[in-house]
Amino acid sequence: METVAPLTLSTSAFQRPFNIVSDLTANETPDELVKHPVDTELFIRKVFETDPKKGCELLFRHYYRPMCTHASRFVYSKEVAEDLVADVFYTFWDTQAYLSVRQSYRAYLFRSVRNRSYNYLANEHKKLCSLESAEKQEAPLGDLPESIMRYEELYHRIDKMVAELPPQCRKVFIMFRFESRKAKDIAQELKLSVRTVEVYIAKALSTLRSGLKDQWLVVALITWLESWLC
Amino acid sequence: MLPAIDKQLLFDHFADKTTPLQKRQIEEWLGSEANREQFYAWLSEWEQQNASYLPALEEPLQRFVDHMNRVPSGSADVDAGKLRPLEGVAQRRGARSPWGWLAAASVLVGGLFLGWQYQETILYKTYQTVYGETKPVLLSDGSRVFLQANSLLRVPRFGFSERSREVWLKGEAGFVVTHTDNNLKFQVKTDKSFDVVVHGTEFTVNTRSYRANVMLRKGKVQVNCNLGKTQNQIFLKPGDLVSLEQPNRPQIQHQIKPQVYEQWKERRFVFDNMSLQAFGQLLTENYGLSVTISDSAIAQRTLVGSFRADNVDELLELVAEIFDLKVTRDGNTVRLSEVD
Repeated sequence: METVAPLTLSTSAFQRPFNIVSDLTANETPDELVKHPVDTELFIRKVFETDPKKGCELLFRHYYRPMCTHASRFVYSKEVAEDLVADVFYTFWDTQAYLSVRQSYRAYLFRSVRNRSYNYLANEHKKLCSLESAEKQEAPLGDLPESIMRYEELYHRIDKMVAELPPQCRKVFIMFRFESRKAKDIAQELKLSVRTVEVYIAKALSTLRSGLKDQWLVVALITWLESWLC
Repeated sequence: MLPAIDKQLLFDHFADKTTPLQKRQIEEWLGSEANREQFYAWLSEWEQQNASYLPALEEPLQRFVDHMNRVPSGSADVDAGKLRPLEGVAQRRGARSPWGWLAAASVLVGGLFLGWQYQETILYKTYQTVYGETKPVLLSDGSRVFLQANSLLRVPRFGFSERSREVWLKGEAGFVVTHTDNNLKFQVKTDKSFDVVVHGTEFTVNTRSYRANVMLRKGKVQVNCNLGKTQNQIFLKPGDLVSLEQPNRPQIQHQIKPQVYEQWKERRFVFDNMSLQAFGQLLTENYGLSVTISDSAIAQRTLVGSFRADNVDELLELVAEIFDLKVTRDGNTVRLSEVD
C-alpha cells in the first residue's frame, strides 16, 4: 500500500523531537532562525500540496498529543482538552484553513487551541460569551507579545491555585475535573461521603472562579462585544 | 541589545520558573515574527517532554480520518473558521484618552448599525448540521437537543428561559426538556403547519417532507396543527407518534417502540418495516446521497431490525448484503440493483 510510507515516517519522527531546527539552533541567535522557520514542516507542507487529507492526518499524529496536554493546563480536564483539540482539527479540515496558513502549521494549531481553551474558560467562568462565539474564534491573525504572555500567565495562575488547595480537596478536584470521574466513584475510592466530595468540588471551583474573576470581568466583556462587531 | 533568549529560558518560562525581568525580556523577544515561530516550536517540544498525561492517539485519529472521509474539506462556511484576533481584546485597557471616548462612541454607532443589519444573527443563535453529522446542543435552561443530520435549530440569544422558551427547527431533532420552576412552556416552532408545546419531556420532532412527525417518550406534549384559520390541538401520551404529512388528517399511533426514533444516541440504525424506497430517502436527507433503485419490486421490499454502522458505506454494505443487492457508488450517487 502506498499510504504506508508517510505514516511510518511520521510515527518515528514523533518519537524523537522532530523539530530539528530548534534542536540544532539552540545556541544560534534568533536572527538566524528567521530564514527557515517553516523548514521543520517542509515534509508535511509537501504532502499538503498533493493530498490535504494525508497532510491533516500527519499534523494530527504530530501535534494532537502535545496540543491536548497543553489545553489541559488551561481547562484542567482531559476530556474537555481532547474535545477542544479535536474541534480545532475538524474546523481546520472543514474550512480548508490549511490553505491560508502563512507560517508553520504548528504555530497556527497551537494558537488556535490556546485561543479556544481561553474562550472555554471565559465561557465557563462568566457566562457572557456563548459557546458558539467561542467556536468561531480561531487562531488570532497577528499575535501580540503581550497576549502570548497572558496565556502562560493564565495557566500558571490556575496551577498555583490548584496547588494551594488543601491536599484532600485538591485530590478530589483533580479526580473530578481532570479525570472526569463521578462524585460517587471518588467518594467510594477515598472512603468519603458523597456530600463531602461535593463540598470539596464546590470549594475548589469557587476558589478558581474568584481567583480568575478580575481576569474575566473586563476581558470576557470585550471579547463578547467584539464578537458582535467583527 | 537583548540578552540571548534560548530554549532553556523558554522551557523555564513554560514551567513558570522565570523572574518578572526575564518575562519582560521574553515579551520583547516575541516582537519579531520569526521569534514567535520559534516560540511555538519550543512550546510544542516542551509539551512533548513535559506532558501532564498521555492522551490516546489512535482512536481520535481514526475518528478524524473518518470525519475527513465523510465531510469534504471546505464544506463548512469559511466564516465559521474566520480568523478572529483575540489580541484586540486584551490590549491596553489601561490607556484612556479623549480619542478613546470618541472611538468608543463611533464603535457604539457602528455597533447599532451592524446590529440593525444583522438582527437575525444577533437575536438568534443557529446550530446547523451538514449531511452525515449529528450535534448535541445544550440550551441555557438545561434542556438538551440532539440535532440530526442536515438540520437547523434556531434559539433566541436573549430572554430564552426567562419569559418564554421557543426554538425553531428545520429537519429532525430529539429533545430532552427540563422543567422550570415557573412552569414555563417549551415550544418547538416549525415551518410546517404544526408547532409543539411541551412541559418537561423527551420527544423527537421531524419536519422532513415525507414523514413530518412528533414522537413522545416521556411526559406531556401538545401538538398544534394549523388548519387555515382554525387550530387543532392534539395531546400525546408516552409512546405516541403523530404523523403530520397531511396536517388536516393527523394520524396517531400508540405504543411505538421509542428506540426507533432514537438513533441519534449511538450510531445504531433501527428499521421498523421501512421500505427500501424510504431508506433511500433517509440516505438523501441525512447524507446527501441520491439513491436510485433499479426496479420498483426491490423498492417495495422492507427492512426490519437494528444495525450498527459507523458510516454510510458500512450501512449500505449491510443493507446490500441483507437483500443480496449490488451497490454501486459514484460520488454522491448510489445505485441499488439486483446481482446479475
